[in-house]
Amino acid sequence: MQLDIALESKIGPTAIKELGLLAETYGIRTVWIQNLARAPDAFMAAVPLALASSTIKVGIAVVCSHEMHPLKIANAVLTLNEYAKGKAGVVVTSGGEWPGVVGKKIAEVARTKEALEIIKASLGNEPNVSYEGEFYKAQMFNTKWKTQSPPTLYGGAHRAKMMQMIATTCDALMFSDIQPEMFDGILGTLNTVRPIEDRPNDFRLSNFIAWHIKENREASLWEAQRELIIRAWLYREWIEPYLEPEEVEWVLKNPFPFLKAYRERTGDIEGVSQHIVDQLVEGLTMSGDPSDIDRHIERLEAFKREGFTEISLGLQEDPVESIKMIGEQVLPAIQ
Amino acid sequence: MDIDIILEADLTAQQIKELGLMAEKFGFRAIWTQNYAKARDAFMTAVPLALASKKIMVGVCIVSPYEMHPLKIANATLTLNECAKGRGCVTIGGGGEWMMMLGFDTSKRVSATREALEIIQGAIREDTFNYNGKLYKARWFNSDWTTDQPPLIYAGASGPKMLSMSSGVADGVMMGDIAPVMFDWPLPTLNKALADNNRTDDNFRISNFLAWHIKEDREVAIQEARREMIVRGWLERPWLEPFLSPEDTQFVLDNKWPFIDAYRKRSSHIEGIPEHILEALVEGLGCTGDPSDLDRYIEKLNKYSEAGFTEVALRIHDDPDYSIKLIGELVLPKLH
Repeated sequence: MQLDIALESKIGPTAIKELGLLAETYGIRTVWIQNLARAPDAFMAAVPLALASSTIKVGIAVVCSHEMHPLKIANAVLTLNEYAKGKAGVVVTSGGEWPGVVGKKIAEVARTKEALEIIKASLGNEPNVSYEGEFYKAQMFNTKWKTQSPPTLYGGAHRAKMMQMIATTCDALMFSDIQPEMFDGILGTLNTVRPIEDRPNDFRLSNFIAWHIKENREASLWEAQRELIIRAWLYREWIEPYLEPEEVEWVLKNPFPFLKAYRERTGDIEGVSQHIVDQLVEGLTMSGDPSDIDRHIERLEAFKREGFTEISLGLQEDPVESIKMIGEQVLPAIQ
Repeated sequence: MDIDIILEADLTAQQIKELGLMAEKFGFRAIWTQNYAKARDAFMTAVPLALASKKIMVGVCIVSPYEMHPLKIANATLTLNECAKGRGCVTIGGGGEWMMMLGFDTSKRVSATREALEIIQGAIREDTFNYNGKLYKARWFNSDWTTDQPPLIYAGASGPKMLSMSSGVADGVMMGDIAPVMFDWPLPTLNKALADNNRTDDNFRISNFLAWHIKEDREVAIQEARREMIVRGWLERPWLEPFLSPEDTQFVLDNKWPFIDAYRKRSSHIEGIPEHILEALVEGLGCTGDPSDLDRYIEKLNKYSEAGFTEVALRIHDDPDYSIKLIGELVLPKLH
């Protein structure tokens, strides 16, 4: 199993380049730039790293066809792939942050399927892509300018229908915030639909996990608490493994303190019991100080045993410290 | 009047950076990357130049709200603007190459462009932006990560409806292939709309996209101009009538395919179109010839200045470094 890191575009293209090149020296497989609505454009922020890197892959996660037409997504990924000399990737999903900001629905399987089919065809070797779908059309789209091998197309999914569609459309699947306690449900579904037998080696399976380990334990927990709401938006399946049934219902009815903390960039989640916060931080993130690294490596080993080909560790503040920690202590233990 | 350069869409990010830095030395106002569907992403290719440049503006033209949600255009433009330390710009239009490729109905072009311009202007200026349009929505968008002065937002507009709409929403307009002989078509409409919107004194930018095909070898210049002829206002009636007889105008309107075919094949041979038509269109709809023609094109450019244009964006094609040097050394110093 390999390790990727995910950075937020708000740190800017120059910092992303420097951090990506540092990650490259450690053998980290990919730098993913997170495509958030309230941050700089992720594709643009990735360009300097793509141009400067030699071995590390450069990807964008996650992109939704409500924000850009699928052909435009394909065009952006192909551009990134040219600059990254064939080392680009993208995660396309029906959700992410953008649909909410542009007032559109999420979890639309048919729409996402059309988008993925258009993107997949555009990334491949077809000289001209034409498509007549219910949601999207394409007329004689060609990419004669491309010179590199195709970028990797990931689908982002958690529900059965979306997983089924992605397993037959994409090169890979990236989950978000899945933990070993959830394997039975989610991998049970995936393994019934993904072409394990037909594609034993070329269907990649990834998962995004928040990484908050710091020298200072308090700073780590503060950061993890601040970001809790975006751990799968604290949907039921993500909180049930860690909370009592009545606590689950309470959190589902009270997401706003978590959202407020995220928006105000504070680790203080007003009105939520510390017990609940502690449980969710422990279950849904990798937090703590360097003395916690060994047990988090054990958790990563569980992903490896289940057939995950890579894990993408989402970094926040002090990314240099995190990359060094991952590169020096975690990566050698996992590979 | 300032001069901008619009680069060919097939250039790489590194080439654009080098050409842009060369243009910066000559004192050009802006470099625009052209947003074509059959080329690399125009925003992405502009990033290295934006990061490396110090004075020159860096823009993308033309982006339509059919290819990206207006908030996404705003986000990309703001990103470019941050990279360029406040020197970013974008031209929003209802047409362009992408729209045809995406198979959209064109009947709502003006409404779509208006809503897009309103969203983009709101998104880059308001702390938290909400919008509830007929075509587009925005909810709780904020760009508190930005630090620089806002980018300039142009509308790509040549016809009366689009010009009138743009004058109330955009920071400027970029017309397409308007020759001096055509000034009476767009300018009265634009000037009236600016007056109606009380914008005659707020530095509203008036630009025109103008094809530039001056080469050492005159024949090469003419071949390039012919190859690109179809994209000169898509040879619609207003772009033909000033230069052709009524019968020839109708002939071209009925026979655009040879122009499209030449453009697609990158050929100067336009099958079945009489030579006198090609010569008249090449002469009328751009700046084509060899260096001995420069004086008359400087005269032509000065007519834009006299008519109130704040800049002209010269669209250069093959041998862009030659064109930038030629314009920088021999044209820029002589403009009013």
